[in-house]
Amino acid sequence: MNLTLINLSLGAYVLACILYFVYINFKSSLCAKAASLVFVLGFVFNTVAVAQRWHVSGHPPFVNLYESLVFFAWSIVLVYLIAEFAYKFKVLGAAASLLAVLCLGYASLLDRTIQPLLPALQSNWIVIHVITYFLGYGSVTVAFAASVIYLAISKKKSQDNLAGRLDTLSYRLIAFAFPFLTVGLTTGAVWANIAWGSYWSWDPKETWSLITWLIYALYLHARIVRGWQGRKAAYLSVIGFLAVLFTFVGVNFFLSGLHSYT
Amino acid sequence: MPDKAIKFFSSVKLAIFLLTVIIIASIIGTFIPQGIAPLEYIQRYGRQGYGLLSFLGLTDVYHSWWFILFLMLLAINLLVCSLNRIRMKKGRLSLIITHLSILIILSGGIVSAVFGQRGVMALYEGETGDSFTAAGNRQVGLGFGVRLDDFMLEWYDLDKHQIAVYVKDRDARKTVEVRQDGFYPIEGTDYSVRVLRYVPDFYLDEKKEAKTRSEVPDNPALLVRILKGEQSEDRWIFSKFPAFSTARDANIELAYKWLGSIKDFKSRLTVVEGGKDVLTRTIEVNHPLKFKGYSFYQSNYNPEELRWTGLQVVKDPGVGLVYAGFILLNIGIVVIFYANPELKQKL
Repeated sequence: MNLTLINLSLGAYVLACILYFVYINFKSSLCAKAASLVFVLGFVFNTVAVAQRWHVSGHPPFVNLYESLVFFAWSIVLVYLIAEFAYKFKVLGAAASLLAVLCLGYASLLDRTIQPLLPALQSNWIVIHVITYFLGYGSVTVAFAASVIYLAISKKKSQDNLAGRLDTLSYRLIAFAFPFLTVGLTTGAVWANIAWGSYWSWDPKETWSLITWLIYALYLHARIVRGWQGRKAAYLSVIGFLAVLFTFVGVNFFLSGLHSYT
Repeated sequence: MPDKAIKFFSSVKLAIFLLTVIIIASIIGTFIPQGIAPLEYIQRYGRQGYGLLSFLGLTDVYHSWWFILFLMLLAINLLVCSLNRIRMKKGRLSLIITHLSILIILSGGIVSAVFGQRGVMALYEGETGDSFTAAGNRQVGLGFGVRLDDFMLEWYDLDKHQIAVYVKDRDARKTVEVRQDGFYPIEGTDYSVRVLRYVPDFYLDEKKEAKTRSEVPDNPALLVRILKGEQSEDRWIFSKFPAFSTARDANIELAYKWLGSIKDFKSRLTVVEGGKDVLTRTIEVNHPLKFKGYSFYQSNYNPEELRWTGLQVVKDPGVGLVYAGFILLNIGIVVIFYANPELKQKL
């Protein structure tokens, strides 16, 4: 990916993060406006960087860890910005931009050479499978940030209103993510069947993506039907995110299997 | 069914319990290697550990009786919940479709497990196979023949090489990526390297001249000219034989790695039925051949024997049900969550 674009994007995310923090601490509405503007600008750079890499490499740019992290940052920021504009709620901005900074920062330490596409990845299914998964993951990651902040402030009486909004937002982000996780999981199974002749082989990556899906299914049932809210729901959201993290990177470090790229 | 049983099986509390158990069991199954040889288990966990693991079904969690029992209980839970909702005429259609779709997927899984056939088939070019090897070394007849006409291996970039240079008197290590005819000064040393020639499959003919057997990179070799001031030495280096060296100047060591990577491996297959060629297709990963319910997947090749192909052969009558379940599941869940007015309310 073009280094300048990624650096511009990273720079904008860092600046946005600082501005969001200033907004939270000093309630400056000017800062809030500037933060959103800079965050959107960083997102534009991030988008162009992904599009350019796609164009230059000639294949979808999510086939190694570097590319995946850049796309993950893009997904987090996209989902956050949608939520910010939809709900006019900016308190999560600092956390979302911090997560984006961490992704791009980590990515900048990795090997960025364009690698040729392995035979198994030469399929159009990669586009829908990966994009839906990343949008889902981006969304539950922002939900995780909301849950962590909720857990940090929910015991303070003065923050009741804010805590309640964070709790609701976390739930809505998980609800928004779940269809994406479902499309990602099922297209993955279809693709595996086309490539290897088996739609499910209990490969660690497959199994962990199912575990993640089941945890969020459990969250939604517990919340919608059993009325779990507040701390219980927030803990489940944190567990779900840890499962996402393990599915995304942990499996490749600790377990071996078919899904040995990214 | 008595009311008590209906109440028990239609409770979401039960669903949450079953999901939790299935999640935990699935996690365990990813940390304990599944279905490896008994000796490997004994090496890892000891004889007693292995005995315990296999008694508890933890060497094959996902096919153990208790895991399947929990899946079945979840299925009954889903079914009773859905029927209950239909009977009581409450709840949205999308919810019922979503939950029934999971039952459809699970029943597809059962059909696959019970009626599915799968195995492997290895063919040499020109050879026709009419059976494949299933689990337990069992031969299963196809009822027709499959001939391998041609196996093809493609590379991305043949002329891409890496040379790791070590210069002893400077204790300097450098790695350079090189191409044919390129000239590369080695930073921090007085040396430079010119790549004179690349040979994909090196051999010496009777006149002791370097030749290539084929364009297949079976024994990639580079002829490099090492330059230092007025001195010059031509040296062959081999990707597969790093220890083999024709060096005269022992002060500089070169290790060559061929960097080409495989782009694709393909097999041209012809289906033979009643002594006649019926159908010819070139298959590769992501593009199987289908004939009479059987699918042939490109799954293996042998870099040392390029006239050979390894195929995965599958006949899976459960796939249709599973795919139908997937479609309904996706539609159901999209409707549940995106036609939901709650998402649009203010925070």
